[in-house]
Amino acid sequence: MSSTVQPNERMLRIAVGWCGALLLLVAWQLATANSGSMFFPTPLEIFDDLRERWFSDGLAGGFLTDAFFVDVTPSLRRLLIGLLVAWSVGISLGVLLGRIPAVAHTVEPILHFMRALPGPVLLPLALVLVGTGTTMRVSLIAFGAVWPVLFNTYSAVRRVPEGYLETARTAKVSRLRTLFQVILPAASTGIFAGIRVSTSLGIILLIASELVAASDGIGFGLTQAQRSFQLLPMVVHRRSVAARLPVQPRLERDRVRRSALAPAPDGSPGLTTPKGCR
Amino acid sequence: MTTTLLEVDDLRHTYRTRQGDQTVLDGINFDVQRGEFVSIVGPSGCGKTTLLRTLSGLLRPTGGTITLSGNVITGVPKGLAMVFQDYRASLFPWRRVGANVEFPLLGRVSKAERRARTLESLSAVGLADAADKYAWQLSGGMQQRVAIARALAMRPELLLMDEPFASVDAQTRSDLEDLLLRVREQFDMTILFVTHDVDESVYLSTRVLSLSKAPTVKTADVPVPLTFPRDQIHTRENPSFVETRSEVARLIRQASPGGLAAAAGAH
Repeated sequence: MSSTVQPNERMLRIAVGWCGALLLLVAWQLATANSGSMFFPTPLEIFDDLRERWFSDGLAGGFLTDAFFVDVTPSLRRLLIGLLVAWSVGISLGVLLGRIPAVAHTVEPILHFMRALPGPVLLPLALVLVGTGTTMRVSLIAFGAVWPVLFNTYSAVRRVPEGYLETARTAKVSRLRTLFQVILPAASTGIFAGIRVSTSLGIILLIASELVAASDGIGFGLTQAQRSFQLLPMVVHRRSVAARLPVQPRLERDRVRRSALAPAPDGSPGLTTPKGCR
Repeated sequence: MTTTLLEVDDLRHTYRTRQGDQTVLDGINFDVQRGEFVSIVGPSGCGKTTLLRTLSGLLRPTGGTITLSGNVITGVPKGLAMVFQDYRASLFPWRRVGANVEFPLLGRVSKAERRARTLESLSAVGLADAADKYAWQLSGGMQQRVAIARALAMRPELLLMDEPFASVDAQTRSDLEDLLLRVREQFDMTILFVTHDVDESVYLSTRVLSLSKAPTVKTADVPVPLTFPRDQIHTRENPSFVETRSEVARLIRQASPGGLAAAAGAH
């Protein structure tokens, strides 16, 4: 029987995790401080530039500078909308496929074919079909990020233990309630694994789409800095992308703790490996 | 005075497989009166589980009729609850114990009523304190008690149990047997109990049905001449218990010549 993690044990784990990151930063600082090369700015310089660029405005504007609203918010918005579309389509379609074998047999080959198309490759096509606006970027993100959610949901829904479903049936629980209170919770570990992978994919596609024909956003800022040979801003833009990644595991951690740490009824370990990582 | 709760008439089931048709139930007939505790025993693979699945409406039989309280069963009927052998595959790990017990009542009875019934059922199985725990934090025997509590919360007329104590240790098993007899009394239920354990079937029941191996028919209908309450020590040394137990064991051995039946009767 697994037991819940003690609070102080959890704090310790978090602290250890931060220590690793801190050590890396210190090492980075030490290694770059005396290099004198403009190609290797120190983390402190990067942090300084980042603060000045985006967070140095007055208190009234919540410290956010105008550049923040040109560089960061448009990107975040595109990412968020794109991911929300990917998640809702992926989860709905995944449940449909997982519950109705006939649909799965019909649609699966096409889906696998479509999934094999790498998102960035579709960029030129998307430019021609949808234009250069936000819609293009959002649809590119949605198209690329939908697959891990879809296939993870599909396989998780298919693997919902028969016992759960029979329990719901013998209790005469309605289909809708069975979907929301049995199937989705039982499949949640897989679904969240898919969401996690799709988020990283979405960020990649976001930047890729903003490298082309954009007038704002992180990718655009990166291109601008690169063209004007401003190394520091380039690094800053790149870091800002990376900084978002560690946030995602938070999303699923709580769910995983609740459902997946309990041994799966078929005896297999509860944690699902994300599928569709490329 | 007794009234018939369940009538099984010429029940047949054939699985269609690629290897050809496989008849599992070959015309089974029996009745269950209100208030009875009927155990079904038989050699392994005799279709006990198929029988329970048809009775619970999870599986549509290919022939015959099942009548519960005068209504012919076509889907999952009302007034029926089921306890599965594998409690780990039937309790939801993301719901707390209380929420698991409450689950079948959702959308059906008021919140206050749900609370009351959950508490009552959990108290009946001695787990009132565990309502806020997760099922996987409890021992196997306790988890099966939660599953029983969930069935009790539904206030079923007929409780179907599919080898419910097969995956717990011997001591827990006898505790659960006594607990089941207690709650049966308290909730006034009729119970149909599938088991492979002859001793258990005689200890718990008012009547034992014995099945042949597949294609399965009923081979005997043995009344248990023992009174309630029963006791793990006294009942089991009672000559009527020993006699009935031997009779049932013999029936099973006849139903399935070879080692399997001997093994089923041995413990």
